[in-house]
Amino acid sequence: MDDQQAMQNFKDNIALLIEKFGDDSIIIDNKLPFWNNGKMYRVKMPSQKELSKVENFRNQMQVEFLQQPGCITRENLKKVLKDNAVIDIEALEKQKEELLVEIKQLYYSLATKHSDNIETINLLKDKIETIRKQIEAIAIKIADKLYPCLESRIEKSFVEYLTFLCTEQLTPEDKWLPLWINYEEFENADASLTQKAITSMTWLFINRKEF
Amino acid sequence: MNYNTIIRKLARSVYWLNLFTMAKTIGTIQMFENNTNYSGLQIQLLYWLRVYDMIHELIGEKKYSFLDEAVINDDVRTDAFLYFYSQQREKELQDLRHKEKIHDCNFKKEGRTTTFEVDFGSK
Repeated sequence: MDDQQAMQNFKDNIALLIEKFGDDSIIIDNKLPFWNNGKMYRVKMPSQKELSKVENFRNQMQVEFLQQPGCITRENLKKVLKDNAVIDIEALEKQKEELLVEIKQLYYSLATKHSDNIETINLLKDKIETIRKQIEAIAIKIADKLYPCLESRIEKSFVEYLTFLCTEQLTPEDKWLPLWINYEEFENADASLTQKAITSMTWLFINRKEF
Repeated sequence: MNYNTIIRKLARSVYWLNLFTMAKTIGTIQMFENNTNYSGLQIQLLYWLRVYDMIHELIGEKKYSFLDEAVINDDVRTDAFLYFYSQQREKELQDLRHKEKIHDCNFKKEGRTTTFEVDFGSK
Protein backbone atom coordinates (compact mmCIF):
# COMPACT_ATOMS: atom_id res chain seq x y z
CA MET A 1 0.00 0.00 0.00
CA ASP A 2 1.52 3.32 -1.02
CA ASP A 3 1.46 6.47 1.13
CA GLN A 4 -1.39 8.00 -0.83
CA GLN A 5 -3.53 4.91 -0.42
CA ALA A 6 -2.68 4.72 3.29
CA MET A 7 -3.64 8.37 3.73
CA GLN A 8 -6.93 7.78 1.90
CA ASN A 9 -7.72 4.81 4.17
CA PHE A 10 -6.88 6.91 7.19
CA LYS A 11 -9.21 9.71 5.97
CA ASP A 12 -11.98 7.20 5.27
CA ASN A 13 -11.67 5.79 8.77
CA ILE A 14 -11.73 9.25 10.32
CA ALA A 15 -14.83 10.10 8.25
CA LEU A 16 -16.49 6.93 9.51
CA LEU A 17 -15.58 7.77 13.10
CA ILE A 18 -16.90 11.31 12.73
CA GLU A 19 -20.11 9.96 11.23
CA LYS A 20 -20.51 7.41 14.03
CA PHE A 21 -19.53 9.49 17.02
CA GLY A 22 -20.63 12.79 15.51
CA ASP A 23 -24.15 11.40 15.31
CA ASP A 24 -24.09 9.83 18.75
CA SER A 25 -22.67 12.96 20.35
CA ILE A 26 -26.01 14.72 20.02
CA ILE A 27 -27.75 12.30 22.39
CA ILE A 28 -25.05 10.58 24.43
CA ASP A 29 -25.61 13.16 27.19
CA ASN A 30 -27.85 16.19 27.68
CA LYS A 31 -25.45 18.54 25.87
CA LEU A 32 -25.13 19.50 22.22
CA PRO A 33 -21.70 20.32 20.76
CA PHE A 34 -21.12 22.72 17.86
CA TRP A 35 -18.22 24.34 16.05
CA ASN A 36 -17.52 27.96 15.16
CA ASN A 37 -14.35 29.27 13.48
CA GLY A 38 -12.45 26.09 14.33
CA LYS A 39 -13.35 26.22 18.03
CA MET A 40 -15.55 23.79 19.87
CA TYR A 41 -18.52 24.86 21.98
CA ARG A 42 -21.54 23.18 23.53
CA VAL A 43 -24.92 24.05 24.97
CA LYS A 44 -26.17 22.11 27.99
CA MET A 45 -29.50 21.53 29.67
CA PRO A 46 -30.04 24.05 32.46
CA SER A 47 -29.85 23.13 36.14
CA GLN A 48 -32.81 23.97 38.37
CA LYS A 49 -31.01 27.12 39.54
CA GLU A 50 -30.35 28.26 35.95
CA LEU A 51 -33.93 27.54 35.03
CA SER A 52 -35.18 29.72 37.89
CA LYS A 53 -32.91 32.52 36.69
CA VAL A 54 -34.29 32.24 33.16
CA GLU A 55 -37.87 32.26 34.40
CA ASN A 56 -37.18 35.39 36.47
CA PHE A 57 -35.62 37.02 33.43
CA ARG A 58 -38.62 36.09 31.29
CA ASN A 59 -41.00 37.64 33.83
CA GLN A 60 -38.92 40.82 33.98
CA MET A 61 -38.88 41.07 30.19
CA GLN A 62 -42.63 40.57 30.02
CA VAL A 63 -43.19 43.54 32.34
CA GLU A 64 -40.65 45.60 30.40
CA PHE A 65 -42.23 44.81 27.02
CA LEU A 66 -45.73 45.57 28.31
CA GLN A 67 -44.59 49.08 29.32
CA GLN A 68 -43.16 49.83 25.89
CA PRO A 69 -45.28 51.80 23.41
CA GLY A 70 -46.51 49.67 20.52
CA CYS A 71 -46.47 46.44 22.52
CA ILE A 72 -49.05 44.15 20.94
CA THR A 73 -50.29 40.62 21.66
CA ARG A 74 -50.43 37.91 19.00
CA GLU A 75 -54.21 38.04 18.67
CA ASN A 76 -54.29 41.84 18.40
CA LEU A 77 -51.47 41.84 15.86
CA LYS A 78 -53.43 39.37 13.73
CA LYS A 79 -56.39 41.75 13.83
CA VAL A 80 -54.27 44.82 12.96
CA LEU A 81 -52.66 43.01 10.04
CA LYS A 82 -56.05 41.95 8.72
CA ASP A 83 -57.76 45.33 9.24
CA ASN A 84 -54.95 47.12 7.43
CA ALA A 85 -55.10 44.64 4.57
CA VAL A 86 -51.49 43.57 5.16
CA ILE A 87 -52.16 39.86 5.57
CA ASP A 88 -54.97 37.60 6.77
CA ILE A 89 -53.27 35.21 9.22
CA GLU A 90 -56.49 33.31 9.95
CA ALA A 91 -56.98 32.62 6.24
CA LEU A 92 -53.39 31.36 6.03
CA GLU A 93 -53.94 29.13 9.06
CA LYS A 94 -57.08 27.74 7.43
CA GLN A 95 -55.14 27.11 4.23
CA LYS A 96 -52.53 25.27 6.28
CA GLU A 97 -55.23 23.10 7.87
CA GLU A 98 -56.61 22.22 4.43
CA LEU A 99 -53.16 21.23 3.22
CA LEU A 100 -52.74 19.06 6.31
CA VAL A 101 -55.97 17.24 5.49
CA GLU A 102 -54.67 16.72 1.95
CA ILE A 103 -51.36 15.34 3.20
CA LYS A 104 -53.19 12.94 5.54
CA GLN A 105 -55.18 11.56 2.62
CA LEU A 106 -51.94 11.00 0.71
CA TYR A 107 -50.41 9.37 3.80
CA TYR A 108 -53.31 6.94 3.96
CA SER A 109 -52.82 6.00 0.33
CA LEU A 110 -49.02 5.73 0.64
CA ALA A 111 -49.16 3.60 3.79
CA THR A 112 -51.00 0.77 2.07
CA LYS A 113 -48.66 0.49 -0.92
CA HIS A 114 -46.38 -2.54 -1.13
CA SER A 115 -42.66 -1.84 -1.44
CA ASP A 116 -42.44 -3.21 -4.99
CA ASN A 117 -44.90 -0.57 -6.21
CA ILE A 118 -42.00 1.86 -6.60
CA GLU A 119 -43.54 4.16 -9.22
CA THR A 120 -46.70 4.89 -7.22
CA ILE A 121 -44.73 5.25 -3.99
CA ASN A 122 -42.42 7.84 -5.57
CA LEU A 123 -45.36 9.69 -7.10
CA LEU A 124 -47.14 9.92 -3.74
CA LYS A 125 -43.93 10.92 -1.96
CA ASP A 126 -43.37 13.73 -4.48
CA LYS A 127 -46.91 15.00 -3.92
CA ILE A 128 -46.41 14.86 -0.13
CA GLU A 129 -43.11 16.73 -0.41
CA THR A 130 -44.75 19.47 -2.52
CA ILE A 131 -47.51 19.95 0.06
CA ARG A 132 -45.03 19.78 2.94
CA LYS A 133 -43.05 22.62 1.35
CA GLN A 134 -46.26 24.65 0.94
CA ILE A 135 -47.11 24.13 4.63
CA GLU A 136 -43.57 25.11 5.61
CA ALA A 137 -43.76 28.27 3.49
CA ILE A 138 -47.05 29.27 5.13
CA ALA A 139 -45.66 28.59 8.61
CA ILE A 140 -42.62 30.77 7.88
CA LYS A 141 -44.84 33.53 6.49
CA ILE A 142 -47.03 33.48 9.62
CA ALA A 143 -44.04 33.40 11.99
CA ASP A 144 -42.40 36.25 10.09
CA LYS A 145 -45.47 38.49 10.26
CA LEU A 146 -46.15 37.70 13.94
CA TYR A 147 -42.52 38.12 14.95
CA PRO A 148 -43.05 41.56 16.61
CA CYS A 149 -45.84 40.31 18.90
CA LEU A 150 -45.41 40.11 22.68
CA GLU A 151 -45.42 36.32 22.87
CA SER A 152 -42.69 35.94 20.22
CA ARG A 153 -40.51 38.57 21.88
CA ILE A 154 -40.84 36.87 25.27
CA GLU A 155 -39.98 33.48 23.76
CA LYS A 156 -36.98 34.99 21.98
CA SER A 157 -35.72 36.59 25.22
CA PHE A 158 -36.20 33.28 27.05
CA VAL A 159 -34.11 31.28 24.57
CA GLU A 160 -31.45 33.98 24.35
CA TYR A 161 -31.01 34.18 28.12
CA LEU A 162 -30.95 30.41 28.39
CA THR A 163 -28.29 30.29 25.66
CA PHE A 164 -26.22 32.89 27.51
CA LEU A 165 -26.35 30.81 30.72
CA CYS A 166 -25.83 27.37 29.19
CA THR A 167 -23.19 27.82 26.48
CA GLU A 168 -19.70 26.56 27.26
CA GLN A 169 -16.37 26.61 25.42
CA LEU A 170 -13.62 24.01 25.40
CA THR A 171 -10.39 25.47 26.75
CA PRO A 172 -6.90 24.38 25.57
CA GLU A 173 -6.68 22.55 28.92
CA ASP A 174 -9.65 20.40 27.84
CA LYS A 175 -12.03 21.98 30.33
CA TRP A 176 -15.55 23.21 29.64
CA LEU A 177 -16.11 26.73 30.95
CA PRO A 178 -19.00 29.22 30.56
CA LEU A 179 -18.51 31.21 27.37
CA TRP A 180 -19.95 34.54 28.46
CA ILE A 181 -19.38 36.17 31.84
CA ASN A 182 -22.49 38.34 31.72
CA TYR A 183 -25.51 38.98 29.51
CA GLU A 184 -24.03 42.19 28.11
CA GLU A 185 -21.07 40.19 26.81
CA PHE A 186 -23.48 37.79 25.12
CA GLU A 187 -25.40 40.67 23.52
CA ASN A 188 -22.19 42.17 22.13
CA ALA A 189 -20.70 38.87 20.95
CA ASP A 190 -20.07 37.84 17.35
CA ALA A 191 -23.51 37.26 15.80
CA SER A 192 -22.46 34.10 13.93
CA LEU A 193 -21.46 32.51 17.24
CA THR A 194 -24.56 33.61 19.17
CA GLN A 195 -26.84 32.47 16.35
CA LYS A 196 -25.23 29.02 16.25
CA ALA A 197 -25.53 28.77 20.03
CA ILE A 198 -29.21 29.85 19.95
CA THR A 199 -30.00 27.35 17.16
CA SER A 200 -28.27 24.56 19.09
CA MET A 201 -30.13 25.48 22.27
CA THR A 202 -33.44 25.46 20.40
CA TRP A 203 -32.67 21.95 19.09
CA LEU A 204 -31.62 20.75 22.53
CA PHE A 205 -34.94 21.92 23.87
CA ILE A 206 -37.25 20.30 21.29
CA ASN A 207 -40.19 18.65 23.05
CA ARG A 208 -39.33 20.38 26.32
CA LYS A 209 -42.14 22.88 26.01
CA GLU A 210 -42.94 22.56 29.70
CA PHE A 211 -40.27 25.20 30.22
CA MET B 1 -28.48 21.25 10.62
CA ASN B 2 -31.67 19.21 10.91
CA TYR B 3 -31.26 16.81 13.79
CA ASN B 4 -34.60 15.04 13.17
CA THR B 5 -33.12 12.96 10.36
CA ILE B 6 -30.07 12.05 12.48
CA ILE B 7 -32.23 11.10 15.47
CA ARG B 8 -34.41 8.83 13.35
CA LYS B 9 -31.35 7.26 11.73
CA LEU B 10 -29.91 6.56 15.19
CA ALA B 11 -33.21 5.14 16.41
CA ARG B 12 -33.22 2.72 13.44
CA SER B 13 -29.68 1.51 14.14
CA VAL B 14 -29.16 -2.00 15.50
CA TYR B 15 -27.05 -0.66 18.38
CA TRP B 16 -29.69 1.69 19.79
CA LEU B 17 -32.60 -0.65 19.10
CA ASN B 18 -30.81 -3.49 20.92
CA LEU B 19 -30.02 -1.20 23.82
CA PHE B 20 -33.65 -0.09 23.95
CA THR B 21 -34.92 -3.69 23.85
CA MET B 22 -32.54 -4.67 26.64
CA ALA B 23 -33.52 -1.64 28.72
CA LYS B 24 -37.17 -2.55 28.17
CA THR B 25 -36.63 -6.18 29.20
CA ILE B 26 -34.12 -5.79 32.02
CA GLY B 27 -35.15 -2.34 33.10
CA THR B 28 -31.81 -1.31 34.60
CA ILE B 29 -29.69 -0.34 31.61
CA GLN B 30 -28.57 3.26 31.54
CA MET B 31 -28.86 4.43 27.96
CA PHE B 32 -27.27 7.87 28.32
CA GLU B 33 -24.52 9.40 30.42
CA ASN B 34 -27.17 11.37 32.30
CA ASN B 35 -30.12 9.62 33.89
CA THR B 36 -32.13 12.74 34.71
CA ASN B 37 -32.83 16.07 33.03
CA TYR B 38 -33.07 14.56 29.54
CA SER B 39 -32.60 16.89 26.62
CA GLY B 40 -35.33 17.30 24.02
CA LEU B 41 -33.15 15.38 21.56
CA GLN B 42 -32.84 12.43 23.97
CA ILE B 43 -36.61 12.41 24.51
CA GLN B 44 -37.06 12.46 20.76
CA LEU B 45 -34.69 9.47 20.38
CA LEU B 46 -36.64 7.52 23.02
CA TYR B 47 -39.88 8.31 21.19
CA TRP B 48 -38.52 7.02 17.85
CA LEU B 49 -36.98 3.95 19.48
CA ARG B 50 -40.41 3.09 20.84
CA VAL B 51 -42.00 3.69 17.41
CA TYR B 52 -39.47 1.55 15.49
CA ASP B 53 -39.66 -1.17 18.14
CA MET B 54 -43.45 -1.24 17.71
CA ILE B 55 -43.16 -1.36 13.89
CA HIS B 56 -40.69 -4.26 14.13
CA GLU B 57 -43.20 -6.12 16.30
CA LEU B 58 -45.98 -5.43 13.78
CA ILE B 59 -43.76 -6.72 10.95
CA GLY B 60 -43.24 -9.90 13.00
CA GLU B 61 -46.98 -10.29 13.50
CA LYS B 62 -47.50 -9.99 9.70
CA LYS B 63 -50.77 -8.16 10.30
CA TYR B 64 -50.16 -5.71 7.46
CA SER B 65 -48.87 -7.23 4.21
CA PHE B 66 -47.52 -3.87 3.00
CA LEU B 67 -45.42 -3.30 6.13
CA ASP B 68 -41.77 -4.32 5.75
CA GLU B 69 -38.21 -3.17 6.49
CA ALA B 70 -38.30 -0.79 3.50
CA VAL B 71 -41.01 1.22 5.29
CA ILE B 72 -38.80 1.61 8.37
CA ASN B 73 -35.90 2.88 6.25
CA ASP B 74 -38.04 5.56 4.60
CA ASP B 75 -39.08 8.45 6.86
CA VAL B 76 -42.04 9.54 4.68
CA ARG B 77 -43.41 5.99 4.42
CA THR B 78 -42.98 5.53 8.18
CA ASP B 79 -44.90 8.77 8.83
CA ALA B 80 -47.60 7.57 6.44
CA PHE B 81 -47.83 4.20 8.17
CA LEU B 82 -48.02 5.82 11.61
CA TYR B 83 -50.95 7.94 10.45
CA PHE B 84 -52.66 4.91 8.91
CA TYR B 85 -52.05 2.88 12.09
CA SER B 86 -53.43 5.62 14.36
CA GLN B 87 -56.56 5.77 12.20
CA GLN B 88 -56.96 2.00 12.38
CA ARG B 89 -56.56 2.03 16.16
CA GLU B 90 -59.10 4.82 16.45
CA LYS B 91 -61.55 2.83 14.33
CA GLU B 92 -61.00 -0.33 16.41
CA LEU B 93 -61.59 1.64 19.61
CA GLN B 94 -64.79 3.13 18.22
CA ASP B 95 -66.03 -0.34 17.19
CA LEU B 96 -65.21 -1.67 20.66
CA ARG B 97 -67.06 1.20 22.34
CA HIS B 98 -70.03 0.60 20.04
CA LYS B 99 -70.08 -3.15 20.85
CA GLU B 100 -69.80 -2.47 24.60
CA LYS B 101 -72.71 -0.09 24.35
CA ILE B 102 -74.85 -2.78 22.70
CA HIS B 103 -73.79 -5.38 25.30
CA ASP B 104 -74.55 -3.01 28.17
CA CYS B 105 -78.04 -2.45 26.80
CA ASN B 106 -78.69 -6.22 26.64
CA PHE B 107 -77.23 -6.91 30.10
CA LYS B 108 -75.66 -10.03 28.65
CA LYS B 109 -71.97 -9.18 28.68
CA GLU B 110 -69.96 -12.22 29.78
CA GLY B 111 -67.72 -11.86 32.79
CA ARG B 112 -69.46 -8.73 34.03
CA THR B 113 -72.07 -8.68 36.75
CA THR B 114 -74.14 -5.60 37.09
CA THR B 115 -75.91 -4.61 40.32
CA PHE B 116 -79.14 -5.02 38.42
CA GLU B 117 -78.39 -8.68 37.61
CA VAL B 118 -77.29 -9.49 41.17
CA ASP B 119 -80.57 -8.12 42.53
CA PHE B 120 -82.48 -10.29 40.09
CA GLY B 121 -80.59 -13.44 41.15
CA SER B 122 -81.31 -13.00 44.83
CA LYS B 123 -85.04 -13.20 44.35
